[in-house]
Amino acid sequence: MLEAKLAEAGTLKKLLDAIKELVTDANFECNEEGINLQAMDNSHVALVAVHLEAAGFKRYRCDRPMPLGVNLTSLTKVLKCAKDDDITTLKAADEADVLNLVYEAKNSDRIAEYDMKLMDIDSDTLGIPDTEYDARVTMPSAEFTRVVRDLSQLGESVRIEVSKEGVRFASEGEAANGSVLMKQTDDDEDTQAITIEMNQHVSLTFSLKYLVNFSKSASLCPRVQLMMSNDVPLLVAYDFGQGYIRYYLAPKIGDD
Amino acid sequence: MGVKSLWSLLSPVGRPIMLETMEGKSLAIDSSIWIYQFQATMRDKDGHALINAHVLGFLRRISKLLFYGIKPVFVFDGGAPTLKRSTLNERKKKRAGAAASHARIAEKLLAAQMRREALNHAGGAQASTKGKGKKSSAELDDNTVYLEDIDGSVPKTPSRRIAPTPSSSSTKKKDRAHELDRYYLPEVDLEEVVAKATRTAVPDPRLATEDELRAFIEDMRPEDFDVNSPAFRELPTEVQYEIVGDLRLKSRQTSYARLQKMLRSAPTPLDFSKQQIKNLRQRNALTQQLLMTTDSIGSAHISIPVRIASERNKEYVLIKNEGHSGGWILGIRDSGTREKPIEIDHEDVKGNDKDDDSDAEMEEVEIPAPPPADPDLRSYQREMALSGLANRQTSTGLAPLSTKSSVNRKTKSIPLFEPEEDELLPHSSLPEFDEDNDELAFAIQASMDGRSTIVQLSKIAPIAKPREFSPDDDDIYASPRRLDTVLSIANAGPSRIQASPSQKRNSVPTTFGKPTLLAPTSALNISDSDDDWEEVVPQHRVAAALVRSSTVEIESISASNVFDMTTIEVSESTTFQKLTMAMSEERIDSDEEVDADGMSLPPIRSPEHVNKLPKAPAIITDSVIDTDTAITFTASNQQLTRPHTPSPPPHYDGFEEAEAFFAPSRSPSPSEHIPEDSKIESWDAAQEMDPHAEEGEFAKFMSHVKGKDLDDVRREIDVEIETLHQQRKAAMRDSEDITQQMITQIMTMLRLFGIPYITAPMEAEAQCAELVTLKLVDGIITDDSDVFLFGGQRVYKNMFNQSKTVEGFALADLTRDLGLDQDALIRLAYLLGSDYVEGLPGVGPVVAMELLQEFPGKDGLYKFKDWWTKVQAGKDKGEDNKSKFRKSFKKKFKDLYLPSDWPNSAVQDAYYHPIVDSSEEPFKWGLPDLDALRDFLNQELGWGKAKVDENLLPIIQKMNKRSQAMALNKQGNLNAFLDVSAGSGTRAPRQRQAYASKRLQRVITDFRKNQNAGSTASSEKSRSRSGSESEKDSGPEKKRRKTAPTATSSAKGTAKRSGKVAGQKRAGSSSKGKKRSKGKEDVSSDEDTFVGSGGDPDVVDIEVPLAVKLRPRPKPRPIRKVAKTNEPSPDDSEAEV
Repeated sequence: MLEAKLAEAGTLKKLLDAIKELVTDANFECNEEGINLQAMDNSHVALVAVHLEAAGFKRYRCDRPMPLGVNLTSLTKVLKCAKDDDITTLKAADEADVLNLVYEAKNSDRIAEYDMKLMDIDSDTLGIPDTEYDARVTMPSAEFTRVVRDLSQLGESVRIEVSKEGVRFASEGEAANGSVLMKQTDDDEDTQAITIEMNQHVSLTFSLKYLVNFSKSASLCPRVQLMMSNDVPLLVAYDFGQGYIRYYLAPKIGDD
Repeated sequence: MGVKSLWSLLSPVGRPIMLETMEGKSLAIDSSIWIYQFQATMRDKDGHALINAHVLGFLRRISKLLFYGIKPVFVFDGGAPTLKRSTLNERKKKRAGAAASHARIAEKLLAAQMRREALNHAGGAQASTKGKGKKSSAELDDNTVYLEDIDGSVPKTPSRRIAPTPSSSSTKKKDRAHELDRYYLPEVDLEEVVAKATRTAVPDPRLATEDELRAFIEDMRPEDFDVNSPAFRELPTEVQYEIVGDLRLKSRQTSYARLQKMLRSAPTPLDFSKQQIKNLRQRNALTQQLLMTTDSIGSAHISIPVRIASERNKEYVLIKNEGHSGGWILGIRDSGTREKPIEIDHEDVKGNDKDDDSDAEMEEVEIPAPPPADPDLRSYQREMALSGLANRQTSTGLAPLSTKSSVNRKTKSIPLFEPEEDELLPHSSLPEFDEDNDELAFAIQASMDGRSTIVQLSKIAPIAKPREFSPDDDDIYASPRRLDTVLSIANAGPSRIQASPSQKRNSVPTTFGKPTLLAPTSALNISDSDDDWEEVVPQHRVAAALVRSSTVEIESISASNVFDMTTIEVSESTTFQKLTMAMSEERIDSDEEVDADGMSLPPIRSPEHVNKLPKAPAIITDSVIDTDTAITFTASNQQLTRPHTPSPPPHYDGFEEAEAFFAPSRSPSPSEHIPEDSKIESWDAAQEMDPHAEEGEFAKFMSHVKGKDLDDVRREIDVEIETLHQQRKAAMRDSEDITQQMITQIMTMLRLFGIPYITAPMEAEAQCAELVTLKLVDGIITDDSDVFLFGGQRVYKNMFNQSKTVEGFALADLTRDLGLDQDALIRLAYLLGSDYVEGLPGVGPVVAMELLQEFPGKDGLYKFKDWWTKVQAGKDKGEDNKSKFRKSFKKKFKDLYLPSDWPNSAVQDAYYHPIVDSSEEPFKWGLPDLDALRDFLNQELGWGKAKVDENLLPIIQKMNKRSQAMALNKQGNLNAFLDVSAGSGTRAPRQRQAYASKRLQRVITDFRKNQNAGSTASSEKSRSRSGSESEKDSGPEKKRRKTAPTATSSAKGTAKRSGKVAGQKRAGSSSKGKKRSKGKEDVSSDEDTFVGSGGDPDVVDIEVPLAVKLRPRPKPRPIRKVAKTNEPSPDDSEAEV
């Protein structure tokens, strides 16, 4: 039996926005600690991992681990029926094949209730290995969104280079090339600050298409972390109060 | 191959694979099974293997693999392990059996085809009213094939031939006399014939089934025909009619294409007009052609009914007016009684042509004196009518009167007279007469009377004679002939005859229709001989009419009465000549003959004419005997006329011989028959050899015996042939083996393609599994389910099946979703049977799965055996049979006996430790050597350079492009990083499939429940343990976690399964917000339980980023635990941790 009360339906909506671009069906794994979702896209280039902590919910109760096999498109449709600030309750009985969603409007007595069919989905839970990254860049998520969006106009891929100078995003297109360099700011506390921690010079190329997708989660959190090591997938992490959403993206090979 | 029905068990875990996602994967291919497949499947429609089918098949598949960027490694079978020997031996036995049955089936096939041919024959005879004089040729060489033999309705010989039935009847008679086996067939070297018939790749058109013919015809378009070619003329008339009609219709339709064509080719209006005229002419030509075809249809008496209007019980007759004013009257004849039903559609299309002809002639006709209404004649006619009725019934299959008047419609012309004939035959042997004969005599007399009038008339008006003569004759004789003309209406003749007395008074209306009934020969006769020998011509005509109606016996009787024997012979011979005379020279010859004889006719005839009445009784005796002779004579004539171009000399020889016999035969003494008989015998013996007549008889006999329509029988035989063909194909397929040479060819081709291959020391499947284990390849392409038992991790099925999607199976999936790990699979093999072990009889996949569930664990089979031995010995106690399954199993498998050595451990060992090549040398792929491939394919498949290029260049180009892209910016994937085991595309979440079988589904559901319960319990356990440790020491712990499975054994897990209630309680506390680290609860356990767990939510390994977060500053020491370096055996539990 699962009962999870979320303060804002908007959180769920924003989470789904980016996920549904990567996968169509996924299991929400619910357990005592919270709700997890892990899904890899068909071509195995990107992986998304979502975690909603039990503490992040207004009320959370999960007696025993249970997967909620959900078609993300359907869930998006059902969530569209909620206003962003509606209090949302997810309910599912043990062995149930239906997920019950209740939206309580914050300022009125409107209560909407929706049932969505669940699916039996086979999926592997992947073991993501521990990795110590050579470089970590923390920057405003809006800035990241802007950079990838701009560069995606030019070319298909972007080379992200972390050096002592700062972090450089460079893209080469058929018609134009472009590069954006962001230097580390001194003020660590500022939300607009750009922090770069690095052990060594890192330069990797990624598909912009995916990055644009990832950057949709910027609405969840003002800060984004990019973690990189050579020849290892890029980790794009958005940590918001109730949990996190993390994207792993395999680099393009053979550029150098 | 493989474990029986294992694939059906595994189907729910198969994942559809997009071939595009397979790019760059290296896959091991179990290719031994391929060659078998090609051997079995790549065959032409006759079941012969294509030459170098395996090369072609491999080429196609290699092309497909390379096109999708798959890097294949071909694995060939080496030796076969001893365990497999028994299986192989069985296969070999099957092959040998197939080879034997192949020969047997071929024999059967030939027999069926022969039978069908016989039927065809009978059917063909049915379809055309023409007698098949030619058919009964005795001189026929065995290899001679006439078109008519293939299709009876070929209107090749325009003349009416003598139906073979009388001859066959005479044959039979002779047979009886000489006690020969009438079904005796000439000796044939059956083996050779069988071999010949089955060896030819091209189907023998003579033995083509109806379907095959139809298929052939459908392939052709009407435009392909040259309607004027003689070959086209040889087609069945109906087909001609159809094709020409089609073409004509098409030419009449407005056609945009034609208009455009005309416009294109006609720059000026004048040209356009010319085009139009040309088209018009074309159309006209087609119309002419159509008319011509309908002509021949008319002459062939194939009724293509064109009914305009009809009324019940009314028959409308167009009658020529007798008065001076002339003209035509449409009168109604009320004749729709049972005795004389209305004949519909009997008018041949041909009649139209003849009408004006006869019309013109008619006008000159003097009205003949109405012949005296002879009561005897009437009685005779009545008799005929009755017999006709009887015949009609016969023909409808109600009451077959005699074997001769059987279903075959062709015989209809004869039956009318047959009863008489039958009556006559005994009498001729014992020369005494009863009323029947008297009646016959009267009849003959009557006919004579009729003829005498005619003869008189002819004397009075010589010019009109020919016209007059034949019509009058027809009154009596044409009606039976008409019988055969009008296929559908059997009793037309009788009605005609019944009507004739009344009509006799007015000969004109009766005769009106007659000319149309006359075959074209008579018309030809007229034109040929009209002016020269008026006297003779009528005789010709009489004879012609008689012969045409296939009533030779009667004819000979009457003729012998009226004329001298010589005259008969002349008339007969000329008639027969005419029959055979498709060629004009021949006719000229006969005409000459007639000419010569004709001179002598008039004097002879007159005396005959004078003493016809007094002579009658005496003549009867003569005629009786003559009937006999006549019949035999007919036979002889048939023989003579049958060959296409019998040189006139033999013909006349025969004729002279016959003449010689006839003289004595006229005398009533039976002794004089003997020489004649002996002479005839020779012909008959030859006739007996005629297979066609016999076939016809056989077919009739068959249909008779079975009481079935000929068509039904034919269909039956067709079906039989069809099934036999199938069997033959299967037998041929099974009887072939793969040779080392084939494998060598394939290896050569692989080398040229730059594809690595290995020959396994033993089984290819085992080697493939080993290659995956060694990480030399990513997966296995095979359709052999054995590969899982050897530990094949990732298997792709249906790779080359166009109709199915490629399915990927991962051993991990099997383990997780179905509880089938390698060990369980091997246990399944023990139950279901595989290459190495025979299964338990009667145990299918469902029972096997239930057994596995009932007796879990490695020693499950032993537990099962223990239990079963107890049950068999009757020592089982109540608690042993507690479960429902055990009870039902006990009931169902009473006869199951487990040998003492049943779970043969050697089998398990063979699966676990197959003899394989464990070399870790990586494979290398090259680019195809196009030039060498061109040579190779030219040599093996006869492909030209263009064809090779067409097939291979796109692939090579694609490969080049791919390698370029690789060099540039290739999108990597997360597989290595995430340790997605080999293969892939499969990790995407997907909906679970359910089994169709409820019992099976229950087994799986139970299994999953257990699994979940187990994992819940274990996770609780681990949580309680790791809860205290939680975050503080997560750093060092994390790295170690993989090797520190929270040792919750499955035993404990199951013990804790009851912990649901406890869990609920705990849930309350946990929801308080106490943060617990998500320990990595690995449910690793002993091999029987499932580990890994898709449904286990606790195994989310998301702690990675936390590590980063916790550290203020990352240390410059990256720990990359990339899967590449993982230990070689990706045992699921280990790999996942």
